[in-house]
Amino acid sequence: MNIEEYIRKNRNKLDVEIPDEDYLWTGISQSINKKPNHNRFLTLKIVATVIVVIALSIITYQVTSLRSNQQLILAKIDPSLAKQEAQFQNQIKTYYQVLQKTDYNEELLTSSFKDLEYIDTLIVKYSEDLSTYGPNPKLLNSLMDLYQKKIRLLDRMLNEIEKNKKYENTKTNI
Amino acid sequence: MGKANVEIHAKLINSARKGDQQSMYRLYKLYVQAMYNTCIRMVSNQYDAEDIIQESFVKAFNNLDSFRGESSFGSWLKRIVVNQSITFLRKKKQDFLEIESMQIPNEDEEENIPKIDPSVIHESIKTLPEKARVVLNLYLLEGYRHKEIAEILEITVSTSKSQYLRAKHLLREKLKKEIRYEY
Repeated sequence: MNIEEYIRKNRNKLDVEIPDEDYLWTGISQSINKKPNHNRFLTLKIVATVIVVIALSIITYQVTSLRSNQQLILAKIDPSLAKQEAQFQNQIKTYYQVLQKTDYNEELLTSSFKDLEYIDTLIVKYSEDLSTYGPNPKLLNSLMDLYQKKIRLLDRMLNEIEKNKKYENTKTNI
Repeated sequence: MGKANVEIHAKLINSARKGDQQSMYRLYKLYVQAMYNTCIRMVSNQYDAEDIIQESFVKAFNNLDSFRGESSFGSWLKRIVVNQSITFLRKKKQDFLEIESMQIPNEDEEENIPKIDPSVIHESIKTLPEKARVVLNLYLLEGYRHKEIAEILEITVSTSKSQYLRAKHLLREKLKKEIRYEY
């Protein structure tokens, strides 16, 4: 038997450490107690959702208003670049549509919507710079890079959501 | 897990969903040791593991509504613990880079190993270098595939595989030493 097989066979015997259960539970129960009551939590959740929706609308508006200008600049510099940007935008739009249809819990994801928002603010900033200063190869590369990062992040989120959903007993069963 | 156990768990989960702390405590007692051991093998530090375990249980209890019973509660909880551990390691700015310089010798996969105390294996895993340790834990002990590991850690599949080979090689060397000391 090689080492891999040996460890797999003895997997359940490896949990040898005894945690300080009372100490850990004290912290956990205190945090659970701090949980706000349901109604207040629901209100806060609604307020937070409204804020996020407003913030996203503002960003979307900024991006849309900049886009027509940006498309003109990109088309002038390199039509293939403009085409690529449009493809990225379409891909992102599709990802968002799929994401909206998914019943996910953000808390359980390692990827964060904050990262997406951060990329969005950078895209807005770079697009503004492009509009103000005109074509700049570095700026254009960075902008394309951001689109790709956003796509990768969305892809990872969807994969994670899918995996969380399908997470079956193929993993170590306890 | 037997049918009776599944039913007891389902009852506990339902009561915990309604905010019953006694049920939460019973669920906690059932799973804390397994979760703690998984976590400490990932992060290799008692204090970090304790923080992560506390955060994970709080997260799990606060999100019990999203547990649909498609997998076992233990698997669902372990997923949270693993995710929390990875988030913790990410915050530490771990970089899972390709191993370029390290030579991993061809090893005899058929090599027969003698009986080893599980606690020795557990401790040896904890002493592995961080990147290799995480991949070994996910692949060998938690049953993730290299493709999944690559996605979670944002590395390539080949990096995951090479880190795993490295981890296995180092672990084998450590265990050989331990066995020599024992006899």
